[in-house]
Amino acid sequence: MISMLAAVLVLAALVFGFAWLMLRAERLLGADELHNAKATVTLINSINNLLPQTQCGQCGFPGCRPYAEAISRGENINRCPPGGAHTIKRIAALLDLPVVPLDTSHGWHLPKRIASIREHECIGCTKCIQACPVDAIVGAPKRMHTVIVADCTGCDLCVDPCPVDCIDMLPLPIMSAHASVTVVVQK
Amino acid sequence: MTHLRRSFFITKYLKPWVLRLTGKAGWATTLHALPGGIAPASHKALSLQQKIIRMPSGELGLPAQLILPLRQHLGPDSALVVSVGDYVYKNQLIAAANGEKGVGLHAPSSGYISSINYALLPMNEAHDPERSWQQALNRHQTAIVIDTDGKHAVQPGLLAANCDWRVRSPDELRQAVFDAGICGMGGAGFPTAIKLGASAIKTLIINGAECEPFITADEALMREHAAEVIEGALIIQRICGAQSCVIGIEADKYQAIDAIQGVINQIMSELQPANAGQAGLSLTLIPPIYPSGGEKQLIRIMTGIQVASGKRPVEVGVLCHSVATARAVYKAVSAGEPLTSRITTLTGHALKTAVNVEVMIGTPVSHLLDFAGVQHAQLQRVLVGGPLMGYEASDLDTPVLKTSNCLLAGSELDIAPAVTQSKPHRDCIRCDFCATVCPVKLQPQTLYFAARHQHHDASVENGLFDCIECGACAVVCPSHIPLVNYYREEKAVIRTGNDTAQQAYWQSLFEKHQQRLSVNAIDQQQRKLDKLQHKLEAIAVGEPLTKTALTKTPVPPVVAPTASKSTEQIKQEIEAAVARTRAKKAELQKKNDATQDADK
Repeated sequence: MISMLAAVLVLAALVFGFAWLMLRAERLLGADELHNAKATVTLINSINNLLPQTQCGQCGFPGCRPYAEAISRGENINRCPPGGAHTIKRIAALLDLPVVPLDTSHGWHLPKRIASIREHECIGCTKCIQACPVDAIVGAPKRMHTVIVADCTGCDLCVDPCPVDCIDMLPLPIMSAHASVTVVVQK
Repeated sequence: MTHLRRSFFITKYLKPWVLRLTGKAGWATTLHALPGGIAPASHKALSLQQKIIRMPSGELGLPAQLILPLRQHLGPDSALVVSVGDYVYKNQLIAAANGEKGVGLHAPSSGYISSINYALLPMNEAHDPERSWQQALNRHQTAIVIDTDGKHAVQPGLLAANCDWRVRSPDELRQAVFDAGICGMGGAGFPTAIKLGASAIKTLIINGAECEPFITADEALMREHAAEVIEGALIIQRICGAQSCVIGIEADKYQAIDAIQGVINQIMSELQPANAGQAGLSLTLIPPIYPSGGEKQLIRIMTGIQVASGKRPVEVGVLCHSVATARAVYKAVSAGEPLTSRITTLTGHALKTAVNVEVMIGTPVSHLLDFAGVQHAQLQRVLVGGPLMGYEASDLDTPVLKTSNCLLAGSELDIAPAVTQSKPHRDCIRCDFCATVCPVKLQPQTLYFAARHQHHDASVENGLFDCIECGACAVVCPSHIPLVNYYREEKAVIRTGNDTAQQAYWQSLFEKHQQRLSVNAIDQQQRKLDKLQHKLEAIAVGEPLTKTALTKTPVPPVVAPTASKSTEQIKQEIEAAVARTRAKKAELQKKNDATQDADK
């Protein structure tokens, strides 16, 4: 009986002792503000790496990195429509948060698309160039503009500013359409 | 379970000895044991009762439409060289190889191109939107649709360069293979011409081990076209310069073994007795264990070489091609015929007649199922490929691809009902059966937990990308967990999510954009400062302030407001403005520096 009591007591002492040590250690580390700041930057970076980098601003922040910063400050993780459920799942896993469905007030998760300018209709107003977050549109004032397909993130931001509505969002496989253009050249 | 273990113990260890004692051919070479593996019921007799039926024949007519997706192989998509409304002849190039690593596509039959649109690849539909690995795979592909005219006409004036391959140089032969648009026909679809371009090949292995249940396409091919297969093997041997060429066949394919052995004996007897030893053509029987037909597995069984993770077999001097590829190479070289047809097994208990057919690439699945007399009441699912590694056909209009070796119209006898949301699988009990049967010596249950909990790092560390998706683990799982589905999903998630190159590129573009914007803002403030400075200088010199040449706005005719202020007042206002602008500029500069630091 006594030996059992002793064992229980010793174990309890160990448990509480280590708990106290851990608390002290946490406080010691927590006091280190530089450490905290560094941790925040790494956290922001790792959240940013999970985001789809379309820079579309549908979340209400001007780009993916600002949204990552906002998430690190406690913003909802379900505001990214291009990322969809997959991104939410990954961010939730990273931050140890519950998985929540996408907040569709910011938009729906759609398959990736790419902007395409109907070039004969373009008047060269440069408004889409200013709207593009990744500089994927080339052109000059009063000259035709066009989209660099490899750079386009499909963010939709150039569609609204266009005064003549000559920008279409096309599904991605259309990219192979350039092959049919070469066909005509070859014939 | 004990029954299963005992059965594969017998097949794995005892059957080879029995066969060796009975003096069957091929047991002279030492074989090496494959870790794991299972011996499922083969069901191969179903489709071996009849001979191969060729496609444009009385029994099996041409389909009304041929659907030819541009991506049937690994590597870049082929590039279209035809447009809608063109008339194409049989064997005409309709999509050119996209660079060195590409594969061309040829018209299997003559007709008009009715459309070039999107077709579905024969892949699974996602049954659960959350688990969407299939969606990543199930992208709509550009496909050429040919309305066949039934004439099956070859382009007039097109003559094949029909000369003996023995006098042509290896490079020429390789070019012929490239022009014929051949990719590996065993399943992965790796472009054959690239594989043949590898240097320092010692051993060529022709893979006739068709280990998956139900599939008999290669067996039927060897049974009926053994000479063509061997000829193709010799051509490949000439191209890659291998010293020996070994044909590996599973020991239970008796007719195929007899046919191949007959052809080899004939070739050997034709050679001079002195050269007979040098030809290096031999047949090896391997124990019928699933998955002995996997490329790395077959190499391990036959040579004992373990190809390292992430390496390709050519890097250790071994080249492996399937018998179907060997025959395609033979046809390409000897007759100049491009790859437009392949032998596919139509099988499953939902069909009236199970048979091997030589079909054109692009034939819709529904056409073949109608031919084989599908009983829709019994039809559970249609798999493209075998029961263990196949994909579910998303709809019955999907075409037969260069890599589809089997169409399995499964009834309940063949395919276990799918795990659905209403009928989920049970939990893992850590019984370790899966680890015993894994041919790559992975720990499937660890991978399962990593995949299930989206621990991508853990998945990769535990060798997810070495998994060959053979499905042996899922077969023996007592909880009926569809383990391979988890692995495929996890692989797709890691690959798409880790399209980090693209994402990092977009990120860098965005950062450059932001950089440019902030620099622009600073510049603007600087210009404002300059302008104000100019005004101050003008005041100092004593010029009349009405002459504000720097402002673009036309000078108002009445300068009363300016005149009403004293010069001193104006000077003070300008100085205040200068201070404001300086502060703003400094702030912007600071912000810019801060973002730059954060990026570093």
